[in-house]
Amino acid sequence: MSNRQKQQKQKRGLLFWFVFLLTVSVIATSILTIMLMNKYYFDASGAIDISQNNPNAQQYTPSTDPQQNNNGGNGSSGGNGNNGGNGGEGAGQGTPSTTTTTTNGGGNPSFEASSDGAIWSTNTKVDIFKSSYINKLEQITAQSHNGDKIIAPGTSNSFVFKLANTGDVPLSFELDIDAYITPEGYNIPVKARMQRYDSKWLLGGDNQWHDVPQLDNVADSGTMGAGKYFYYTLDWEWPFEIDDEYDTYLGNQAVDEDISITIVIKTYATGDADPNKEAGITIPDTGDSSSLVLWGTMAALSLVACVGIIIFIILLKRHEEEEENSALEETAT
Amino acid sequence: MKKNKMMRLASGLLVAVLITTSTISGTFAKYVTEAEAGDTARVAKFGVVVTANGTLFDTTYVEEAEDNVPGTQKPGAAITVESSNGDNLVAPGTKNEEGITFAITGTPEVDVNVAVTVDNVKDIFLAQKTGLPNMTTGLDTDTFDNGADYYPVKYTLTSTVLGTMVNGGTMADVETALAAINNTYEANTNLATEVGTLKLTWAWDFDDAGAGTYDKQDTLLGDLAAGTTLTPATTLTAGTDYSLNTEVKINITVTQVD
Repeated sequence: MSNRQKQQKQKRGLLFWFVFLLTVSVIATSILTIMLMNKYYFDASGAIDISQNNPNAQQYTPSTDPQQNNNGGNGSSGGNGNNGGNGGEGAGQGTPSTTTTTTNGGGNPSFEASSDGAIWSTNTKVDIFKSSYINKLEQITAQSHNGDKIIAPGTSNSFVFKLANTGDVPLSFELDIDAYITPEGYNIPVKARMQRYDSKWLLGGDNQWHDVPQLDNVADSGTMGAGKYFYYTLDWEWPFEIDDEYDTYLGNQAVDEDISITIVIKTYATGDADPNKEAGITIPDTGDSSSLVLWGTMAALSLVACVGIIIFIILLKRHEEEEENSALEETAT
Repeated sequence: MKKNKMMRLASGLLVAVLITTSTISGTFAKYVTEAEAGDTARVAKFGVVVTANGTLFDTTYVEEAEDNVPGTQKPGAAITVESSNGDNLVAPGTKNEEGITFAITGTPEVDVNVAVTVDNVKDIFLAQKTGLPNMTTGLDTDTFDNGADYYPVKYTLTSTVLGTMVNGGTMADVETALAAINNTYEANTNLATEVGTLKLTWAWDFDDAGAGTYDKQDTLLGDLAAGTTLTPATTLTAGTDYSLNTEVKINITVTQVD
């Protein structure tokens, strides 16, 4: 076998192994990618619809938000105050936020918490309470003298807020509430209850109210399909004639010090749509920590494949140059 | 030709690797967001205070100028009228110009209803009647006619905001005037400036500036109180023809409106 034939044989061998290596890399990464994407279901339109995982999630379509009945209505004379009604009805009400966060590949996840048409960010002030309240005759019966939010016997309110998946990939979400009275040691006889849009009671019930501090234990979580939303109704009331003596005591104490109720609603959403996986991250942590070894191996193989291709091209070029030189030498001789 | 085909194949594989690599890297990125909202409310201020000071009647009265005032107002002064059994009493020439005062203060952040109610209202009176025994002459046959219901104790009710509400009237007049104070006030109303301080005083005139206009009535009432036999004999019914007691209980309540 001549030198040239040997070189050609070597070249073919080298080429074969490089092609083989590249093919294996491409096939392997493609298979793994498809396995990941298989978590997501596609509806008839081709859009991602995770309704199989959350059949009760409502379709989010741009229209009016769930209406809040914020009359803060007091009941009839001598009666307990009304809760002012439950908020919102119907699905998919509201104009979607245009906020969209785009990540590398993987669709456009976007989450929005809002109330009264205002989108929440961090420490957003909302109107769970009011600075004045009216009765059924629309007459003001309680009013702050300085614009502070106040509560008083007979006052009540119904607060509706919405969590929406405005992106095109499923999201896992978590809801957590903090509720407390300051200063410590006081008990304010305000009652509360909280209901989700699908009539699930997170606290209390139709005829069951709890002290506001018990909101501190309220939490909810779940998975929300793309374009879907949840809404919640938080009702509170201060019954008018339960303990006049204590109510009067609080009102008199309030002249010299602020006795307050604070309610904070925290929401979290993550792009991990595995319903069995615990969601709720408070520290931003980009990167899926699962199967790091596997992903790392595939990334390394892909890198090797890229480097291999580059080396192959360089060697091939050099080889061609040598062949040309050999051919020229043979011709010269 | 082989070279070109090989180059094309290698290029195609390179592109495929790059595409799958980018897809893999996309799965590494994870979307996370959070939002928080809250609200705080304080208990609405109430702070309404109703105060009452003073007393209307006393068991003794002492001399002051030409009248007699409750002994508690001038300790040590000479007593001119004194109860024999410790009961509070009134008599011609006695008065109480300091009386009792009521004040409502506070600026509540809720609507409130101010209600003044008067209980146990009694007034000393001698009913209109003819042929009443004239106990001033000592003659058994003398009588006199009382032309109109006679209320010897005259009450005066004033307010620092509303002015004189009753000027020398009866206890019934006082009750009517106090009822007019009942009102609902909007949140953040300064009640002290709306109702003011109420003051109730009284006086039993001694002799109508010397004219002695009501001496017969006063004497008859005094004899009735002492249990003196009336001459000429007359049957008078307590409660209908006369009353020897005056009394009032004033309640002021400020209640939040629902």
